[in-house]
Formats: sequence, structure tokens, C-alpha cells
Amino acid sequence: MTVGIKASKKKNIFEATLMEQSINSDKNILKIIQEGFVTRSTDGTERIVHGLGFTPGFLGFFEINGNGRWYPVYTTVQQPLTFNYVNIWSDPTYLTVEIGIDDATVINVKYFLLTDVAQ
Amino acid sequence: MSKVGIEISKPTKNVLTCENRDKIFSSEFQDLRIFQQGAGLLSHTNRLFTINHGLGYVPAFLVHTQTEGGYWITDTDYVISPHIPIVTGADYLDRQIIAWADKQNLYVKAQTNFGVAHYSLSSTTLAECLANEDDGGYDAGWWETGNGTDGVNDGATRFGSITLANSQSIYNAQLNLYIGGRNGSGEVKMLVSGIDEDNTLNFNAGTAATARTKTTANTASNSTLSVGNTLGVDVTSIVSEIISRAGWSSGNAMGFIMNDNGTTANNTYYEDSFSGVWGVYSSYTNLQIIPTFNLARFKYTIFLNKIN
Repeated sequence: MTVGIKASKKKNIFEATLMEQSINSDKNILKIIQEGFVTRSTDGTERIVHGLGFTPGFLGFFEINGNGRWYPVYTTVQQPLTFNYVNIWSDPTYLTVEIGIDDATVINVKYFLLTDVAQ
Repeated sequence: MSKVGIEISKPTKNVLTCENRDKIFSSEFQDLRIFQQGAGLLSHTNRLFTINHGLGYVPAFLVHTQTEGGYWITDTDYVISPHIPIVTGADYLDRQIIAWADKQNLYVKAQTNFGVAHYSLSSTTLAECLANEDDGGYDAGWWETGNGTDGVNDGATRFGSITLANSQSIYNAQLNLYIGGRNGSGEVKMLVSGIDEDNTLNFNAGTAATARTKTTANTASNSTLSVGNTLGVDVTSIVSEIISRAGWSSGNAMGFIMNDNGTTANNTYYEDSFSGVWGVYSSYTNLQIIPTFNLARFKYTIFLNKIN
């Protein structure tokens, strides 16, 4: 007998597939343990202490010059930043946000730190 | 009781003592909660999708894209946007798909010039792919169009190994003619037609290129470009007519005739390679074709989670 909790989306829980279940204690859900902003108008690196003791997963988005458009952070030349860039990485102690400024006035970064292990 | 809420642990883990990472759910933490999902298809005529979410704040999101049928791009897997094909040179900047969100919408955009195929002249022996005719007669190896010192000039160009299937749909075709030299500085008027043949021969063989049967479709082009510029002529309908011929096959050659169209005296454009040898300018004269295909499929997920 399987022990656990399942919740389904408007369907008999005994017939619902995994895709039709909102919660299944066999399958993890990405949970946000911390979120915040980093803002810089000059080159620099900021470290956010999380102290989890393991390397957590994360998501990041950036905005240029407060124009209201938020793009996902990715690790390569940042388009449409062109010669500006944003890098994010994590380790067991910190989430690190590195921002390079070229022609931008200010770059805002929003990060979501997950309780779930990245590696 | 120190705290109130609901927590669910992974199998075999004690929910009262386990680490947060071993909890499937905890009301202490916000999880990534999906608000809206969907899919779309980016095409040449629909390069920007605007997906209204109406949340009133900027939500977190994911966009996965699958490029389709593009020049240099054969990967059919879905990748997280932005999609930047790994190619050398500046072209990659024009071959990417980006996504962003604001307080009202999610946007997915294909950048410009995605999927342009460039065809060079059919041979490095210019007598096979360039031709001119004026009062002095027919000469293969260079082109000139307008009204020059030897009367009216009609030019021709030939491009080989055109990989278009018979009757396939194309989005755009452009003939680029490098102006290596010119007479005068006034307007040059030309009428560009295609050579109405399945696989037109080299210009130094068979019927003179300028005397070959022309397509019904043609494009008038009037311009006053100076030396060093490239004249772009829309030849979409011409290329479509040629590849719709019953005998057209992928890999064949096609040609274009640039007839003078009433230019006043002493105004011509010409290719500055009179030696008949392939030169740097020859590479600037080319045919750009964008076949009609879908640029990319994408799937998006908008979360309830707030960025800003």
C-alpha cells in the first residue's frame, strides 16, 4: 500500500494522472525560500547570504533602465543588453549576482531562491 | 504550538524533523504557481506574439522555443528562451528568439532576417554568370545597365544551385547588385525580369543571356546610387514564376535580365570586374531568398509569482 498525499484538479484522484494532480507527495514542488532585488548602476558583484548549506536552485530576471520589461537571465552575452551582462550563480552559502554595465544607466535584477537543490 | 500550517514530506521523511528541501509542500513557502500556459507559432508574418495576462504586475515566466526549418538551424528540441543559435559572425544576433514580460503582457519575438539563404553568382568564371549587351554587341563576363557610351545597356546575372523545390512557397527574394562603377550621377532605370528557363545555361554558352525568354513577372527599379552601394531589387514574384515551371528542380540555376527602362543618356551601373575574374565585388552581388516556413514554435508558462 502506498502512503502519501495526492490532490487532483477536478478529477477523481484515483484516476488522475500525474499531470492532472496538483500535489503528489512522490513529486517535489519548487518552493521559494527567498526573493529580492539587486540594483546596480556600476559594474559589481553582490552576494546574498542564504546559508542553506547546499547549493540551491534559482531563477533570475533583469530590467534595463527601469523600462518595465523583464527578461530572463541567462549565461551568455545578454541580449538586448548587448555589452552589459548579468550572471547569477549559487553555492552552499551565497547566491551571487554579477552585473556588468556598459551603455545602461541602471540594471535591476529580481531573483527567486528555491529551497530545492540545484545539484 | 510554534507554528500553524500544512507540510508534506517526501516518502520516508519525518515531516516534523526533515529539512525544508525534503518537504514536497510547505505552507511556509510560496511555490511556483502556474497562472497561464499556452503555445504559439512564430512566422515571417507574425514575428511578435503579445500574450495578455492582465495581472497588473510583472510575473515570472518561462518560454521554451523550438526552431523549425531555419537556415543553419536544425535543432528540433525545445530550448529555454532566449534562443541564440551557435553560429559565428554577427548573423547570430539576427537569428534569435527573445521573450520578456511587463505588467500587462508576455512577449515572444523572433528577431529580423531569420532564415535568409544567400546564393552567390553561379561561377567564379564571370563569363559564365555575368553578361552585357549594348550597341557594341553581346559580351559575357560583366554586366552594365542603363544608357551608356555605347547606347542602351542590358545586363544579366546567373545564380546556381538554388535549393528551392518545385512550386514551393517563398516569403521573399531579393536580387542584390553591387555597383562597382557607374557612368553619370543621374537616375538609372531598369526593368528586372527572370530568365524563363528550367536551368538556364552558362552565359558563355547557348543563346545570349540577354536574348533568352523572360518571365512574365518583372520589377521596375529606379535609383541614383553611387559607387560602392548595393542595389536591392525585390524579385519574389520572378523567382516564384521560375520555380513554378514544370521542369524546375532543386539545385538548378536561375538568371535575371536587367533591361534599361528609359534611363537618360550617360547614366549606367556596372560591375567593375572587366577582367572577367572573380573579385571581391562579385561576392557582393547575390540572391537572397527567404523560403516560407514557420520560424519557431513556443510554449509559455506564466506564473502567479511576482517579479515586480
